[in-house]
Formats: sequence, structure tokens, C-alpha cells
Amino acid sequence: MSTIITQDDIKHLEKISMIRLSDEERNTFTPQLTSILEYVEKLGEVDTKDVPETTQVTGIVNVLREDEVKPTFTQEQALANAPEQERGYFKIRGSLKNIAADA
Amino acid sequence: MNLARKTIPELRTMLDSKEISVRELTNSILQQVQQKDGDLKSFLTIFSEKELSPAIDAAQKAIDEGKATDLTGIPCSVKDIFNMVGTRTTASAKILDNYIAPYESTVTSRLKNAGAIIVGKVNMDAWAHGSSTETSDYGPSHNPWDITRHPGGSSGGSASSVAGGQVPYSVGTETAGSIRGPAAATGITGFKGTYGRVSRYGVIAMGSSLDSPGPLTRTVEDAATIMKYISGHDAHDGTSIQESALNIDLSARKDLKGLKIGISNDYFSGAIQPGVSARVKEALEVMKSLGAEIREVEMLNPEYAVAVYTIVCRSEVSSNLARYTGTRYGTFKNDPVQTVYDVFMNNRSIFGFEAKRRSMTGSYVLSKGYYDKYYRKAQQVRTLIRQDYDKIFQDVDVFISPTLPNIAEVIGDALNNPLFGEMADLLICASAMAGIPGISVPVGLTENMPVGMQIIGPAKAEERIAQVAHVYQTATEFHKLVPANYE
Repeated sequence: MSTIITQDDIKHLEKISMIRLSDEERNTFTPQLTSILEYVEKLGEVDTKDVPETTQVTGIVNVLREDEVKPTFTQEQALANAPEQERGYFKIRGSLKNIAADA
Repeated sequence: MNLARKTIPELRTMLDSKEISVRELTNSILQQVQQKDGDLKSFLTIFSEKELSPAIDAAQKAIDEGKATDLTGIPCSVKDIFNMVGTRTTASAKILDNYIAPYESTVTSRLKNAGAIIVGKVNMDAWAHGSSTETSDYGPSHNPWDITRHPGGSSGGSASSVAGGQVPYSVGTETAGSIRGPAAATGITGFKGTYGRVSRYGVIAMGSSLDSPGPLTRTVEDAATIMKYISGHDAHDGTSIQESALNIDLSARKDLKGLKIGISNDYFSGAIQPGVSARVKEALEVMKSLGAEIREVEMLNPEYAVAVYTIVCRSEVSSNLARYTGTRYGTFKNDPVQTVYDVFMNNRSIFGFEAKRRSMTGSYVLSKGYYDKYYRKAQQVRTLIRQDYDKIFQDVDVFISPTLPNIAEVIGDALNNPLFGEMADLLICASAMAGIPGISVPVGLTENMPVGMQIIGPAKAEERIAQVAHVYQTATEFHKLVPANYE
């Protein structure tokens, strides 16, 4: 039984993905996600009873290093690509004041 | 004479004998880049002679002092997925249009230390999401064999820059097919190592359990040479395998006597274009005449691997793209906001459609209630794929198939297929999911377009597959074919 994706499902996905689609993108993507899921659901044919999951292929576990202080970005380097900055901070549009006003 | 058509050892001889200087060679390559890029659109950033001057001078000094490596003074391109300190690094995504890398990837750092002259950064599918460069926010690159067609992807700019005679070699990355695929589509050699063989540090991430950098070259010999410099353990990458750099000895095998090659009918029929199957079967005949034995092996249907790849990779994409908020770097929208949530929502709406599509598919299969059905199931089938290879490599030394199911398509034909990227990787997904190495070599033309054959081996068997590919290439001339309009 295939999964049918609705526009409401897509709106929920936009929320959890923090991605906004245009109406046109939403109309295109809704049937496409249905067909993508239809394709991947063929894995249901494969018997995986008692098969362990593979999450990585190298077999490497617990890669650790000494907790040493090493040179890292200066404040200037860290801010070099910031769209906006002020007094050494990343700057974004204020939002907390609106919440305070609602409270 | 186009010096970009020379192999690495040929250029090495010219530089070491002082037949040409590093500056002359670099300028000659820059001229090829400029001359052909109007048609091929391989490059996103081209460095000027002035910008390259420190590297040119350092390379010439090393040569003059007898301290040259194999790569010293030889120009190349790299995919715009590698952070190179102080240079624009976009991954072909508009959201990173003005991002200047603040640090250096291990791959480019090792290339530079070896004296390579990186003349520019080349186009790719945006975020490496695709198999044609058509999802690039800067438009597609073009296949030098027929410029109405794409060069494959995602390392398509790497492929068009090498196949089109702009540079002698390029370094790209592969998640599932992004090196081997474009190499096949443009008639060159592409080498993807075992996962963890080449460091991912400083590579803009797509599917972190899969991403593997590697070379696109004119010959197997060149590919093995580049691997020697970019491979080897890197403390900056926790998934880097504990091995020293690959030092492949191609001279150790002169023929294919005693080599057992596995093939599977599913990899030659069905969706595979007849001309593609035919060229690869002819190549197998050549390998037989060189002493190899061909055995039919039982493999899982490759479509299951495509489904596993779709789920696993899109899940990893949704996680990796979650870090792009447009606050610390990248493009941002200065629209009014109510909450910090709106800040992220606004900035992330700049993603291209393919990035949105993949990210949201990943979010779906990972979300509450669907995780077991999709993600866990895919990770279980991934285990079966690995067991499949463990089983066949008890009987055969290598597995061989066409690299791509088709020749490169006309640009625009695949855009509305939401799984095009994955379907193009039909024959590659299984080995990518298993993290094992593969090399694609050209085996001739069909409909005047190149066909590639891939040779796959067990984990860490890069030397074996490179030797087999080299013996084949030594016995054939297909890697010397040059597209007529781009000599």
C-alpha cells in the first residue's frame, strides 16, 4: 500500500525542515514525493528479519584525541563571512522583543 | 599543441628538462581554460596568472632545486566543493555565492603541498545533488563530445574541464557516482577510493557516510599518481581510515592471467542502453584475451541499492543542510520577522528546488512514525548489500559493469524526473553504499558519445582495480580519443 502525500503533509514538512516552498514548488513536490516514496517502498520486498543495520562502513569506533588547546579562528576570521555583524557579534533581525510584547 | 592533453608524466618530463617553465605551462593552460569555457562552462572561478604567481614561483624553485614531486608545477582544476582558504567556495549554490572559505580542505592542502597549480574551481550540481550539473545555480556545464548534452555529475565541471582539454586533470568528489559517472559520460578515467581513504575535511558535505574525494584524469596512471598525494589518514576527519597514503605499483601486473572477473546480467540488461552494454562486453572480451576469466555472479537487484541510497543520502542531506541558517555566513534575507524561527525560514527559502526536495524527503523518512519503515529498513538492506559483495569477492577478484546505464542526455531532458540523479547512478549505488572502491575507464563510443566501464573491488583493494584498469588501458586506445571540436 503506497503512501499518498497531501499538501498538508508538505506544509508540515516545511515546518520541520524550516524550508518554505512557493505555491508552485509545493504543487510540483507533492506528487513527486508520493512517487519517490512509491519507489523506495519496494524495499518492503526484501526480507530483513534479524538483519543488523549498517550505519557506517569503516568499523572505526570512538575516535578520540587529547584535550589540548590549539589555535583556532580569531574573532575576525569567524565573523569574516557574517552577512551582518555588530561589536563582534553575528547580527540578525530582532525577534525577542515581539515575543515580550505578546506576553 | 594543447598541453592540457598531456599526461602527468609527459608534463613532468617537459618541466624537469626545462623544455618549458611552470609559468609558461600555466599560462598555456589558462589560455585553454579561457578559450573553451564560453562553450563548456566548466569553471565558476578562474584564477589569474597574478593570483597564481606565488604557487608558480614556489613550484619552479622546487623543480630548479631538484625537489619536485610528481605533481609539482602541473596545473589542474578542483570541484567548487573544496574549501580553499581566501577563495570563493560555492558548491554551485547561490546561498554560498559570496562565501569566502576561512580554512583549507585536506585535499587541496595536500595538492598545494605537492606543488600542484590549481588554476580554478569548477562547476557541479548544487550541493552535489544531481548527476548532470543541471541543478547548479550557475547553469549546466556542457559535454565536449556534444555541447547540447550535459557532462554527467555531480563532478561535471571536473569532467568537462579534463575531457574538453582545458586542464590535464581535476579532483572531484563522489557520494554515489559523482566521479565515475561524469568520467564515463565524457570519456575519461575516474577513480573513487574506499570510503575513508581520502579525507572529507573541508569538503562541503552531502552524504557524510558516503562522500569520497578522488581524481578525474586522462589515464589510470595519472589517477593512481594523484591518489598517492591526496590519500592517507587525516586527524581532521574522524572517519578517515588508519592507512598511509596509497602507493600503487602499476608495473606489478603485466596481463590479466588468473584474474577472475564477476559480472551480473542485471547490470547489462533492462534499463541499460544496448550500445553501452555492447561496448562493455567488447571490453570484457579484450580482458579475456589478456588472460582473465569471466564468471556470472548472483547479486541483489541494483534497484534496491538505488532505494537504499535515496533514503540514506537524503536523510544525511537533511541533516547536513540543517546547518545553513544564513546567520554566520551565506546569503540572507532581511525581511521582517516575528521569531527566530522566521529568520531561519526566510534565509533557507533561498535554497534551490533540488536542495529543498532532497532535504524535505530526508526529513520525511526520518520523522516520527516513518523512521522504522524507511530509514531503519534502508540501513538493514545496506547490510545485505555489503554481505552481497563479501560473498562474490570470495569467488571473484573484481566486479565489472557499465558505469552509467546511458550515454549523457540532452540538457533539460531529465529535469522533471525527481529521481533522475539516483537513476543515473543505478549501477553505482550498491558499491557506494558498501563503501568499496571503483574506477571507470573509457571503452569506446556509441552514437558518437563515450561509454565507461567500471571495475569494482573489495574495501582497500584500490591497487588491484587500478592494476586491472591499467592493463586494459595499455592494451587499448579508447582513452586517447579526443572530441573533435575541443582538441
